[in-house]
Amino acid sequence: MARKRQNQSIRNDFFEDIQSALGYPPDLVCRSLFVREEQAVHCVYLESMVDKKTIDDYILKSFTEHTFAEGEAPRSAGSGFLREVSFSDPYEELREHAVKSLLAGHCVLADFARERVCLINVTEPRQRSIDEPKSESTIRGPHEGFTESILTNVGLVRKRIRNPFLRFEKMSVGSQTGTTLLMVYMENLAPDSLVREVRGRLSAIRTDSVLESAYVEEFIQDRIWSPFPTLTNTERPDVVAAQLLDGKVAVMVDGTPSVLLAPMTFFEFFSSPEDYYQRADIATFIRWIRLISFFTAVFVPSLYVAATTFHQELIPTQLLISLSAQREGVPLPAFFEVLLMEVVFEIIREAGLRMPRAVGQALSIVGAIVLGQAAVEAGLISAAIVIVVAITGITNFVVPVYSFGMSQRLLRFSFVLLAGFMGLFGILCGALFLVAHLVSLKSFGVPYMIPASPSKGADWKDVLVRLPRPWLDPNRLPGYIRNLKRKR
Amino acid sequence: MTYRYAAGVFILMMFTALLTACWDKTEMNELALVSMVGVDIDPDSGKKTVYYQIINPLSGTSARGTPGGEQAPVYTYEISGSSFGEIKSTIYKMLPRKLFIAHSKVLLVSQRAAGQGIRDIVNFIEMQPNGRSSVPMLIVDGSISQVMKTFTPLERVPSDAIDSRLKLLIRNSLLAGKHIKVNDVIERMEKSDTIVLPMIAATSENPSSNSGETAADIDANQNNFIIGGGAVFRDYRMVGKLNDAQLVWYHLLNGDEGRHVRRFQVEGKQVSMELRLVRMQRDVFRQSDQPSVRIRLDLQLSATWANEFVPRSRAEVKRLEGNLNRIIENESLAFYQMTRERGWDLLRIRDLLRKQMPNHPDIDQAAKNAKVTIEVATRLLRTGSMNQPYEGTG
Repeated sequence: MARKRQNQSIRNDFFEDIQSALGYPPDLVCRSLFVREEQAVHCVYLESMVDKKTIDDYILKSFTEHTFAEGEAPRSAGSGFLREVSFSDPYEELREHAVKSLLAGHCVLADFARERVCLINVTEPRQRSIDEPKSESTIRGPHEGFTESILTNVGLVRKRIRNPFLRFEKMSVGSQTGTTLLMVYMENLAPDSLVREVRGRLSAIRTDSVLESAYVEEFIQDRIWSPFPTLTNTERPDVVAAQLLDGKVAVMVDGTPSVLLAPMTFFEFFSSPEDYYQRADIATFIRWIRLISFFTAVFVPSLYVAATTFHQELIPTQLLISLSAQREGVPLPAFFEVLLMEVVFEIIREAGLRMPRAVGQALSIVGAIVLGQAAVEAGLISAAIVIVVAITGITNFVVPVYSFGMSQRLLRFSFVLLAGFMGLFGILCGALFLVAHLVSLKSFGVPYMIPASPSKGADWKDVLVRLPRPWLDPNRLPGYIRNLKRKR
Repeated sequence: MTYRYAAGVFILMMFTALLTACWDKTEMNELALVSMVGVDIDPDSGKKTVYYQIINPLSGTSARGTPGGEQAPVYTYEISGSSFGEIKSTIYKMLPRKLFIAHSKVLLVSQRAAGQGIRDIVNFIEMQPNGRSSVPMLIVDGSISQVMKTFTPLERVPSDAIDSRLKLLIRNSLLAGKHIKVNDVIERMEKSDTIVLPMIAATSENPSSNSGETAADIDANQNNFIIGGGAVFRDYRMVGKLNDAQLVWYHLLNGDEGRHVRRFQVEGKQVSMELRLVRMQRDVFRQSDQPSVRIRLDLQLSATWANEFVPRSRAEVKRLEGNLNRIIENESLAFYQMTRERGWDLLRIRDLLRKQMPNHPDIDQAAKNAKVTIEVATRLLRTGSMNQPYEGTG
């Protein structure tokens, strides 16, 4: 009788405590089944996190249909599926286990007959289907993209690399969010030192929350004060597979489709795994276009400012006359004109990202017609500025990695300021600073400017040109990865 | 490490103070783009007059509003003073924009100023901070004011018209050569050599100063200027003139490679032949203790324009070549004799001897006394599309 009372009290307190710990959420469901008189089984779960069909078909049905023999309990198919906590355990521990499990999408089954609590994994997280990544679309090549579910992402990588050496190391970061991280690498290809370094940096992260891989990137990147990313991120499993096969390390974060890749060098931002889906000559041509676009995006506005305000003698006569005619009656100096238009362009671009798609179209019309054509006709800005801003705006999107494009935007503004104050000398000083900064950068121990600095002649083979596949060594890793392995 | 980095940045920032900066900034619409400079010096009063022909950017097709049309493509500013330095300041009494001569294409000098000496003018061009000495220099036969105020048809900016004509003449004739720039003049004058500069003259007495009228007139020879003849310079002074016929031999003997068509009288028949210099060789050797210069010209002939007579057999070709060799040798030698009599070293024999015989005690005398022989070897390589011109013989 005393035991019965104890059970009763546990039952009342237990459910009350769980509800209170979770703040009486609307999706908390408690279902009771009376298997035998006074011996109820209570099933508690968060409706939004679980697969209700599994609960109905496999858990509750097993009690109602008496498919178990007396004294037999549903047994787990594998570890993690079912975990038992006995009533004899301390009550606090029991409650804590139950709350954590509920939040992880488990079903808490309180069996008062057998004086135990079963924690059954019936998770069904809400996730979208596998789509093509919007920011990294491709013409030729796979159109699959990562999703927010880390397990799906693991599957997408496994599908491409069917190799027992593919390693996934699980970690958990974020004291509040408890986000799962996976460090992915090929054990036979990735250098040990690199894997150790990434593991070390990941385990040193001390933060309360990780909601996106960018949180992790900021913790593990080499230098905070640099416009250049030392890691790249991608939503494409084929890109991750290609980089893993190059001996690099990927970091997957649960809840985001962006996967981090390290190390990255400056020139790697100009090549893309897509280069290998094209013919070699076309891929080489596209690489050159990307390089030219980088320099155009960074230097054209500043060169325009420098040439038109300091070094008019550099401009061919006919062009000078034409530019001079355009500037007749324009109130602002060329420097402010460029700065103003660049800022306006950035505003339009940022607004375009946030705007609903239907309004976005109207915005682009306003941006293109009102700010371009009308401003020129009203004599507020010269037509050449619109061309300069348009060219830089377009070329900024050519680089395959979006984060690298962002750094180009920052650099462009710095160079415009330098050109506005000091002309070509300013640009030259800025370029020298930039080169000095670039050669001092490292990405996980790899010099950022390799193979230019330190100079490695042999490594140029797949940098400025993409040699045809049959000419490339099938087992060939990038030069710096080979160096890291050799050091071992 | 951080301190070292900061110190490095600081030192570099200090250096930037030495560089050009905002105070050198000039917007393009604050500039007066000079397309042509004209210089005149009054021999009596010594008063110097400079003409700046400024491009009007709004006349171009790229300008906003009405393209071209009513606006003049250039404006000529005329300013006088007792020295060129003074003019530099007084120009702003009239000119509302900063003078920018880095893009000037042509320098014109009046004949009377050239006769007195162009040393001051050359120094004036060289001393300007953004001036260019790689522009052609032409001597104005007649009134410089008239040429500076002439609008040219077709090529709306006069300096472009002159520049373009000179380029075409250098390629398609032997009436102009490549070495006519201000820096060529300086180089030759400093070496006490001679140089021949092209001459330019207005075609009408009172050209219209309205660009619209000029553009509307069908007669392109009216309201225009013409390039013709050459001004011989020695020691920064103009000492004489060459006519077009003499200019051909001057340029040929100085190694210019323009294709020139000239009519020759061969065995009583007229024949127009196109000449092009393939190779010129100048050898110096001693002959009875006097230096002797042998100039060998290899010329390529073309009968493309020979509408009077076309050689039809190999023998005729050989005979024609032989005759032309002799004619060209004689005429060029006669040209040399003429220059020698006038004391002009137009074949630059002195310069040649200085290079070939650096230890000669009296180069000037040796150049005067040098025996010059000219050998010509012509080869007819191109014939026209007809092997026999229409003769109307029925």
